[in-house]
Amino acid sequence: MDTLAALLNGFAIAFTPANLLWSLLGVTLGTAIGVLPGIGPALTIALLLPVTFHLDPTAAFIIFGGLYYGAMYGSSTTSILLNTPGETGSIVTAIDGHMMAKKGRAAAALATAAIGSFVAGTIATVGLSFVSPLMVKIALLFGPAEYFSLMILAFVTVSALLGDSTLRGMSSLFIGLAIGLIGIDTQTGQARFTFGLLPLLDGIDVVVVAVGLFALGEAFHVAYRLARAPDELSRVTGSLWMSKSDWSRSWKPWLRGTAIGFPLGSLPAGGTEIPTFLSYLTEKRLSKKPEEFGQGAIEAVAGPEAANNAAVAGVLVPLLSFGLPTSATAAILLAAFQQYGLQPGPMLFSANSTLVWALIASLYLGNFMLLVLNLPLVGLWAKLLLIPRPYLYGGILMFSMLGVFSLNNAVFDLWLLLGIGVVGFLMRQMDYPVAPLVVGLILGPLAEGQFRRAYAIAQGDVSVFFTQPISLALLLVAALCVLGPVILRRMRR
Amino acid sequence: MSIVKRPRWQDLAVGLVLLAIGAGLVVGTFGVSTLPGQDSMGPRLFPVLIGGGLVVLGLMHLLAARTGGGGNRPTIVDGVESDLPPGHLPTLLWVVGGVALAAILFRPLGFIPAAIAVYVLTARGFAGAFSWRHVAAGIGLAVIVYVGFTAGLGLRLPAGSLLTDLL
Repeated sequence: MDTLAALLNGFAIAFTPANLLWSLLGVTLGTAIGVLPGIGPALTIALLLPVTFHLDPTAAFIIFGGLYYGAMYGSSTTSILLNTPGETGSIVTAIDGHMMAKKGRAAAALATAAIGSFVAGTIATVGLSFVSPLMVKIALLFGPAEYFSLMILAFVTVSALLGDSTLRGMSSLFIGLAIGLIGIDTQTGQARFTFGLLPLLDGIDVVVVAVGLFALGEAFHVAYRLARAPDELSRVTGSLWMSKSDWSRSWKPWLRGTAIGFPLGSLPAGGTEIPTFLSYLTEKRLSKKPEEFGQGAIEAVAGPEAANNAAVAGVLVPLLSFGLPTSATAAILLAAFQQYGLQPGPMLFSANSTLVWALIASLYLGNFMLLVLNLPLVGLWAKLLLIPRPYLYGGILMFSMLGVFSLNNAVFDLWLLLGIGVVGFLMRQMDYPVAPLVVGLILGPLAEGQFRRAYAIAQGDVSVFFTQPISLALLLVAALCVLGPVILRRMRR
Repeated sequence: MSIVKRPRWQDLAVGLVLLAIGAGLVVGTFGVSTLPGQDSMGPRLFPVLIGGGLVVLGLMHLLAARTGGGGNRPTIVDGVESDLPPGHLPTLLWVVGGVALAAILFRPLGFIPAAIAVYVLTARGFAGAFSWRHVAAGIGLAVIVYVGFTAGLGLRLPAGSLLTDLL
């Protein structure tokens, strides 16, 4: 009952006119950046941090929550009409969605994506509301040793399970961990790896890294590879109302997609790509006409779109209850909490319960606003795709430099930004995932803190990580994630 | 299912870079002074662990370069991995140059000229040709953003030290 009361209280706060406006601003901006190729939620939240610092935290997180959900809706529009996924979670949608658009069924594809996202988003937000408090109870049992082991597990799953190579994922993670070392050691006040440069004493801001990787790295990539490639933009054709057969072919994939997306998103194996792939494969296997997949099957749009929206909500479970980010966007959200001096985790639910529940309540409302924004107004959003690349990327880079400069009013950060942008570009060219780097950067210092705390509590006994049952179990799962695939491959030979 | 082929020199280059960073971390750690009594678990442990990890990852890259393995796995769904067109270096250089020029101009000339510089050079790169329309759009956007941020949000952006010195 506690949960329900807290949630109702959250609705009372979210329903105030000002907060409704913040939510509307968030979902509108989120849809826009989701539609626009080249900008995603992680980048946008990073760029907004210096601006929202003047806002009260509840308002800021209502904007971020709306933005986070909205980006997922918007990116499906781009996948379907342009065949260029706006975000990684929409890669699968692009396959059949774009085929449907080519066959003049763009409107039906957009409708099943939007309604499916709404259904999945709503169910998953209900899940978030009721699972998080349970997770908090588990989190309260965790001491520093368990936290450290949980973070190790998150490191492993983010870098080994995502992307197509454990070696490349791990390399990215360790570069992030190394960058995280730079600056003053929080426990002893020692300066580490600052090379005598004063601006490095505070460490490298995660905003600089995120903007460098996601804005500059991406812009450099598009400039190098795609600037001359023509776009194939489909028009919104067909009726926006799905036919009877569209409905009957869509509702089961929506629910199955939700059932796949939410739990997988909630696990420390976060991210939205894997649930969408699994949903696609599930629908293909269950379909009576699997040959239609790849040719514009509506199930292949409905399922993965539901899965990615459910996963997006799922990622918030470990973030809010354990303070554990499992995707790049979640890592930036964690940085946003830190900017306000808040630490997500069990304490957040007791110390800042109004903020948490107002955020969760605003997600319900945002989801509803998104359905309205995306279903009848989708033609308007599609117009954003008509912005020519020179203008779009000129604007993105201008805002990136502005956002990064206003962090510390330092030109030094701009050069750092350029350097990280070049690194991001090279990683992209060589197929190294960047999400592990961002997660490692933000989670590395926290893991170090937990390790040293656990070590101090155990009075210098390192075995504490292996003798506590929860901690041991987490480490074993982590080891399994790295070694499992290797062993399987050996056995198959 | 398609398997993406990776050139060996790439693994070799990345391996060497990771080795260098890792070795640098381990060696540099001994420059981090510790307080007496905390030498084993103080601020030195994690840099050594992370540096060691980077060295191992670097060696694994070198091994992959030797065997040509590279740890490639096939893509999950057919048709996702689309072939990228060959790279076009001049476009990239225009965009990178735009960011660098803006960083140079930020202090002496202020936000507006720097913002126009990055906008126009980026647009020039993407469009393949210079256009006065890009300049107009760049000026318009830069001025709107400057006024919006300084007057609307109360953030401070540099007006340009050259300009303020002259006045």
